[in-house]
Amino acid sequence: MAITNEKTWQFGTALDPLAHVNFLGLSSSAAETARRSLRFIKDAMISVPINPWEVVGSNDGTTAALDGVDRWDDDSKLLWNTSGVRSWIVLRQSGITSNFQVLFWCDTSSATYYHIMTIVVSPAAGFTGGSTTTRPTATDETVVANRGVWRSDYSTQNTEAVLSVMVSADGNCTRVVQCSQGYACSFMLFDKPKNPEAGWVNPWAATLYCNNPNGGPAASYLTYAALCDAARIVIQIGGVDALCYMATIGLGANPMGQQIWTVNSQLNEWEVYPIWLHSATTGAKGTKGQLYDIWFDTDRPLVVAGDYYTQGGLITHAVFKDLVLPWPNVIPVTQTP
Amino acid sequence: MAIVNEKTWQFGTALDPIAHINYNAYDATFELTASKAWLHIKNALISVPSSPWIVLGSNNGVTYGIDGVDRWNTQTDLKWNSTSIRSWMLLKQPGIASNFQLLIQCHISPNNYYGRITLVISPADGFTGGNTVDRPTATDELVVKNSGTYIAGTSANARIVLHVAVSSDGECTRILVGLNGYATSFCILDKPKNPEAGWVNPFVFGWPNAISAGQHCAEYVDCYDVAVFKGWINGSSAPFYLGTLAYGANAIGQVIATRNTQLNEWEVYPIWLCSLTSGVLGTKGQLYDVWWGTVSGSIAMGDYLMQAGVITHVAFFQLVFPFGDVIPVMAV
Repeated sequence: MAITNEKTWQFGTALDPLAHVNFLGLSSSAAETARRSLRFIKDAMISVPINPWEVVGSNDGTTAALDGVDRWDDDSKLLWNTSGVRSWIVLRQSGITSNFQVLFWCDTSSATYYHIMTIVVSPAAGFTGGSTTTRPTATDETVVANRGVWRSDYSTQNTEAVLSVMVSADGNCTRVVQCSQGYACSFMLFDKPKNPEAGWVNPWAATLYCNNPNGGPAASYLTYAALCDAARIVIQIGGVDALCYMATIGLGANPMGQQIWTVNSQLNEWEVYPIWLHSATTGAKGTKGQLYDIWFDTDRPLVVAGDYYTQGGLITHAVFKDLVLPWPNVIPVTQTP
Repeated sequence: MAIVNEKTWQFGTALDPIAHINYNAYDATFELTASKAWLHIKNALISVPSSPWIVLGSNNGVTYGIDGVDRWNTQTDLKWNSTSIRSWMLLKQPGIASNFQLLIQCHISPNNYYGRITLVISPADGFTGGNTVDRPTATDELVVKNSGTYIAGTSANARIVLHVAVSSDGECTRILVGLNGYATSFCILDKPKNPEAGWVNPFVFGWPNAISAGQHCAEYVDCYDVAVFKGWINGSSAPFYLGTLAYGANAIGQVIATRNTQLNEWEVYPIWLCSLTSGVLGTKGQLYDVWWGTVSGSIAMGDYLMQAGVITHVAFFQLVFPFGDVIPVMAV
């Protein structure tokens, strides 16, 4: 199946259209790398030219308020801890729902584990409260990741990170990919699904998926096994928090992409496969919608993170192991030079 | 996923809009049953009000010709044999391709195996020749059944019930065959939806059948796990799996055992034509208006779906097809 985007994608600012891909997040320590990386993600989300995310409020460990102020204006403002002072920021994206808010909270399971954070979504009610030591809460909140791994650091290791952030021009879709040592390691998604099920009020989908083996990444983790065989996408429907599989076209015992290791015979091109959201969660069972502009690739042995597709001589899509995403006309970087 | 037809479907004639479903083809002998069945199938195909199949020629064992004459008027016009006189019928459906032709030949082997038939397709060139013994041939012909089974069983008479449907644009033809409450066989002969770019005269054909009279054939294990459908892609025969939405090691319909929670309805899943065969590898298109259903025991063969109080679809075991507004009969 040919790759055709349904959205227009933004990978940077008006001044630098490619500013938000291939960003090297590596710094002098695990703490500094994490601070630099998360701040970059926030900066990228709020600085795309069209329909950027808005800052609802923030906490830099000294001052906390939902007052529209971005206090994460320096890496040092991002403070991780297991209790006590922990930085947070609340962002809003009205392209998903009219008041879709995401909270990033530097809440970790060990004081030196900077690869851990908490992500919470409020699709409509919005966050209130919060202090320098506690996060805001929302009456309709869904915890997407509770002290979840978002970087491939293991323990206190300082693992390199190449970050890429992309936001669709209508604000419907935001994707964040982190690569390290040549591997696709981490994936975030905040989307309004395509063709959401009838009656789904404020449809949204979100995920944080990452793997962090001891010694650093030794493989790419954005795979069929991780995303199609397991339910990783969080949704809230009918008041129920549910986990969705990234379903795709299959036959026999596997998805098509896991069984086709060469190009389409007639088109002489690699196929990619669209993705649906299917929930097996009690109270929310069923196929709930699709995802825009993200595909499963063929699981051919030689595919690696950083492969890319071209159209008309221009790079248009990047391969992150088994996922394919829109990409600007620049070669994807997956490790430090 | 909700069921929404993309085609308008015809199940009968203007006089009797549902005349072509729930048809009891059973007769005193297997030969009479087979003749009754194929006479009905031919009559149904050529008598739908919009875009009917067209008779190009025929052979009733006495006279033959590719002259536009339909010589299959009664059951006795269908002569069955392995080597000697064998009736044939040549039909055309421009809704699939401008000169898409289907040849039906009462060719069986051995001679008492009336559950077999020969079906040959010419997507463009058309058939020529033939006589009372031999079928016409075409330079681009694709033999899709060569004395192949069209219902379960071999020589034993079968209490079959037939359901024939043709889309009003002629692009899609479906034949469902029920036997003692089992989905014993079915035919899809379609122009695919969204055929791959460059596929000249795209079509897909399949007529899977159960192994025995007490089995179904419209199952995931028959058509999702096995490539039993065929296309003819620019000179190469392409075996197709009926692919659909899947996660992990199964199609969704194989693992979901309850209704969609929010919609309170059983889900159905669209179908893609997937080939893993070298030379024709890839996802070649989709099928209109047929869906995989669920394996769950809560849905039984012949169950039907209603919309606004009207029966619109039938569960032909694990596949779901459009149906007329009448309770499906799957056993005589």
